[in-house]
Amino acid sequence: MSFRLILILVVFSFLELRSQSILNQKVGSEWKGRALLELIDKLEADSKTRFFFLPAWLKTVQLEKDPAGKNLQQVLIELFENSDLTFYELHPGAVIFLRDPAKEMQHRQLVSSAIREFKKPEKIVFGSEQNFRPGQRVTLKGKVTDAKSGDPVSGATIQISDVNAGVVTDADGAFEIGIFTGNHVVRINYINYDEKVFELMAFATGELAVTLDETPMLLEEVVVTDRAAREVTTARIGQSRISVQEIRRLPALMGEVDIIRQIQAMPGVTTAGEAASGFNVRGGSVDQNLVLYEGVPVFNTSHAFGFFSAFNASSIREANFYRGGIPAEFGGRASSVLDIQAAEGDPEQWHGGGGIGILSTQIQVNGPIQKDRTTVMGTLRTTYSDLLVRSIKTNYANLSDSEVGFMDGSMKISHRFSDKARISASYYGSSDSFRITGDSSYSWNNKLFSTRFDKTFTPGFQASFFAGAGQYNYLVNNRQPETGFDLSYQITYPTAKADFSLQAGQHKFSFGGQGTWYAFDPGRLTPLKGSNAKNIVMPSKQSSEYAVYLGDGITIGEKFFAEAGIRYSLFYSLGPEKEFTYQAGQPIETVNQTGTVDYAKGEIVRSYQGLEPRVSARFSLSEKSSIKAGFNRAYQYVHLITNTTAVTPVDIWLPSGTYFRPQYADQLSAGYFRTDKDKGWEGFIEGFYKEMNGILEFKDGARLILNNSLETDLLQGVGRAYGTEVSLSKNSGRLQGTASYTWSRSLRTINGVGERDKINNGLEYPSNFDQPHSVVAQWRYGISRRIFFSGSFTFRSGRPITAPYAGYLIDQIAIGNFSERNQYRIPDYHRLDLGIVLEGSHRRNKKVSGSWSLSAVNVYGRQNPYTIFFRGQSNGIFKAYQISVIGAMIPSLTYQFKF
Amino acid sequence: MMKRLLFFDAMNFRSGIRWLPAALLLAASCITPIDFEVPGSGALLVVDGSITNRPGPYTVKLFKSFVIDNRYENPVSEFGAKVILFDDQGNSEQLIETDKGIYKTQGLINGQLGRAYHITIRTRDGKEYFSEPDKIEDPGQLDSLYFDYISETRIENGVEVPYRGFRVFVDAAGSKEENLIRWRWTGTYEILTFPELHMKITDRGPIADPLPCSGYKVGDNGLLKTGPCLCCTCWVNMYQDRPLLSDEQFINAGDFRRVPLAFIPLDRRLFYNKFHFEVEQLSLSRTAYEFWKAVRDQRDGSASLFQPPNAKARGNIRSKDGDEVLGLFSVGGVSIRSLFLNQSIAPDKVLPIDTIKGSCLKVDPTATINRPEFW
Repeated sequence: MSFRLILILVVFSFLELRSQSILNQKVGSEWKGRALLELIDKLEADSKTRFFFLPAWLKTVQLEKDPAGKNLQQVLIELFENSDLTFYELHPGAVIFLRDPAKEMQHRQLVSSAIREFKKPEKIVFGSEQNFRPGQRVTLKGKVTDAKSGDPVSGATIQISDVNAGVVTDADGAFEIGIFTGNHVVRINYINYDEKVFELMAFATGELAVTLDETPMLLEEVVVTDRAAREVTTARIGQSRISVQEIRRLPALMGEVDIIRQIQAMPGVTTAGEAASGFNVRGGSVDQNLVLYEGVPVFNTSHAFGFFSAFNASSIREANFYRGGIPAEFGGRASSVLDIQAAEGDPEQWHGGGGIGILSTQIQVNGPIQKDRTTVMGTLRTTYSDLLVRSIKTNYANLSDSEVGFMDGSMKISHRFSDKARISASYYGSSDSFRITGDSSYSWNNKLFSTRFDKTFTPGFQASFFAGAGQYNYLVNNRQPETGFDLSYQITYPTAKADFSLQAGQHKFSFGGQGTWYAFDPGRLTPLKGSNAKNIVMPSKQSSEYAVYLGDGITIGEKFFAEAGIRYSLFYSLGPEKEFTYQAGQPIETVNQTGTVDYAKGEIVRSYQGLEPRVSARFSLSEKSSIKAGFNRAYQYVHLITNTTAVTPVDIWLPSGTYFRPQYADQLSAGYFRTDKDKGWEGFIEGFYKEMNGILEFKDGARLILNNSLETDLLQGVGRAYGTEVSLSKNSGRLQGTASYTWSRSLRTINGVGERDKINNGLEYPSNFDQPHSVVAQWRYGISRRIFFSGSFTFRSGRPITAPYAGYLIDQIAIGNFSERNQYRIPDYHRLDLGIVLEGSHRRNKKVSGSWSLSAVNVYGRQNPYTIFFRGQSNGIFKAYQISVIGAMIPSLTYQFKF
Repeated sequence: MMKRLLFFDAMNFRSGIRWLPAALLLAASCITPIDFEVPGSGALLVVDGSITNRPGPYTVKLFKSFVIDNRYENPVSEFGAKVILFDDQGNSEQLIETDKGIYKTQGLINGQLGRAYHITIRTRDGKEYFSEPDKIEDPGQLDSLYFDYISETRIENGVEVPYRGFRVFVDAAGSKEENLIRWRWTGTYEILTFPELHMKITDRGPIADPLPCSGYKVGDNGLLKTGPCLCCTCWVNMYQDRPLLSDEQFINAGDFRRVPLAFIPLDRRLFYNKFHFEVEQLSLSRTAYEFWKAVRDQRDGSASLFQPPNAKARGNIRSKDGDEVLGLFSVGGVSIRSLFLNQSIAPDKVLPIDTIKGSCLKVDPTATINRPEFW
């Protein structure tokens, strides 16, 4: 092109000069609706002026508007506005039409680079070239789906490469972007999917159905992905999408791919240690996280006391994690939302897969029951750690009789009535059992069931109806003949929900409602035959929670997007219930009990309500950078009652009531996001401030199990947390990875009426998971198409503990005089994990593909203290010891296969 | 120790879980001592005293707490204090300081079931303290004390070690609905040492240097007996390092069966002769029970995976000025039983006692050459 232009210019320079400019000449209204070429022909004929151009550029251009009263210059400016055509008069007598050379070259380059990358750009034409109007605005709409499963791919990036515009698909995989008519290169990307490139000739609005193929290998030799500013273009602040494929590439403890571990590596998220289940988000406690599996809350997210998460990675399609800017649709927990969607079966053909690790083995099968209509997906994972434990050679406590095991399974059936209506049903179950020594065994189970019906009424109006139920229970079984018993706890919670979304102009409204019933069976002790244990049945508790919400996502101009919503929640604690009453103005202690109040069945014991505003906004400074801010309030009506730093499976959940107010948290966050997609960099800095109300703390020596008057052992107070998160990612090239640093504090104040109702004399103290500095780096490096190295490094400040500062002996028993709560810290935590993944095949058509992952956790064998404890010596002096859960390097080997 | 009884004691659960990481992670986890700097506070007054329904004298010990710095030091006694014991009928008795910081009654007041008692303390520096009045409750009855013998090997730090010894149990009855009970045991064993074989190092190598208390001296032709040995045979006490408490809330009306009290390893020093085991069943006030429970939680919970935070053990001693004061004046009934454990009962044989070339009084702070009455 450039060569041709030079030629034109060279030819032109020999032309003689004329005095009168043709551009001032009026164009009559008789030209309305006629072709520009015709006009030029006429002008050339009538004057000495010559026009230089390539006919292809102008052959579709018509004078649509009445040119009456306008001169040629005005007419041409109007015609070429927003197109890549320009013109200028070199001298009177010569008008040159130019196509923006930079743009054209860029276009060519993009196409040829796509060809070089074997992306084989598909040519797509919208409308007819006959109707081409340069500079006209048209809309590119479409839907992105997974080629195999037909699942919508949400979060995929649509990039109009030559104009640096981009958009991200919504939860249904749909997208919409305004473009100008003409040639464009459209690139569609999603993590772990092959990039799709289209050469689009848009002459009119059109729809594009895109199917993406999963990347057959874990890493390509030359990766030139372009994630097009995912962080910059996502509206919401504090939202992250988690890709299971991405987690698979990182070294994993004992080879178990674990979504909760990945959450713990995110900026703003901390954990009490390797063996602690759950996670702490921006200074909130573990129970403040709403973990949804197919829309149903999960009350215990861990296997084996927190070493592993309860979710089998292969049952997960995608997970969204909101640590700020929580949408109005979600509610019920104060700090964060982890929304996990289950994978669906392939509508075309049957597939299977599995994995064999040193700790567990898992299989998955999926495929069509009725082609293109009904699919099924099932997964099953189980441990053989029993074998491991039993093989440990010891006579101690007879380990050959021990049990350590967990299993989980999931199944999802989906049926598509049409493109506009589909239904799915999903089941998930997990169970754990544990007995090492002694006479007690422990088991706990999650069961979740849900059905969902999605309906599109009009392209802009969709609804989804959901009904589900969950159950969590645990059982402690003690087989000691004299005192044996069964202790059980259970919570059952059916829930129903309806969500609607309505697109109207620049607005995208969402609204809906939800209702949940909770039935708590807070404790039941049944003596075994011949045992002298008491028979205790704690009265059941029941409550209900309702919410309605309305949200609006609004786009104002090119640069501003905001999502504002409000949620109204209502909670009832219902009879039958027997409650203790206490002397007014006195601390709530057993000694101050004055009597009991009885509530009849269905009678309202206590009700609470809350208005929860949720706002998040994005302002684009440029294609590369944006500012985001958000505010949200969230109420929480059920609480996890625990007196330990790490959550145990036998901790109990209880509803709010007369003595336990609901918790709520207010969070304000703001951040700056920047991406440089040419170089593949992406980064952000984000700050937050959060206030929490009604957080629960326990009194010293609190007894939580089978306690009829828990209010005497628990306290409520306030907490606040603040911090700054910085993250930098590189998403292209041989070396990819993310590094983040978080500085944050998490503080609490418990200042009750009596002396025992204060912690640390009512002064602010650091929470159990206050870890001011946190650095996480994760990376992978492709050595070839089949082999890559990955690694992760974690550093965290030591967690606060309470330590003895004096000791004494009474009756020859050493007693520590402990400091106020959490006044000291255990040493800092740091750990390096490395892994190698070997892909057996990267041919797409190979029937079975397998991969080996070799990982080493805690490479340099640091004995990170999980905790420090103090043991009094016989002389009354206290000595400090540390427990390291992973005190050595732990290697593991996993084989995964798929067909 | 009380694991089986405290069936759903959360601590029991947690101590069991300590084995989990070892099991799951194939012994990758470990426990190691570390240096942990805690700035010590000033030493605080500690009160350790009790009154029971058994005849006196009753003792109150006053001393200062240790600063945590991993260095051994003897507790500093609080001497010269004025300690007075009161009952709930207007009687009082001042305790006499029989040794530095050790105060004893003279028999004016005898503890009785159902009566309440408290003490007041005035230290040398004029500070005043008092205990909250508590009643001596019926301790219930120790029905039987018995034992069995086990012989196992265990893996400790990857090394197989024998685990052989006597497990001692008790069957007991509480007295009423709320059984706040502590079982306190004391072991006593005889030990033999050889102070006459003591050597001292000189430039010419080690030479015989019998301790004076051995009754020997160095003569021209070796050791020469000059009198009886005053430090060859001692009796040493052994105490529990963790309070044993009833977890009353889940048990039927104080029916305690097969409560595991102790494990006494078959050790050549412990069983040089025989081993005396005595257990007291003490009734506790609510405050004392909570105090011992906090102590037990400190001991059990600290090493747990789930990390129950350490709690202060709050006793029943208060200061008039609001100063921090530690310890307990324990008021409660007591029921006692004892037995002898003999190595001849054990199927495993014990090695002869090792040759300790020193005074038996130095073996343990509790060592004494006075033969106990029951021996």
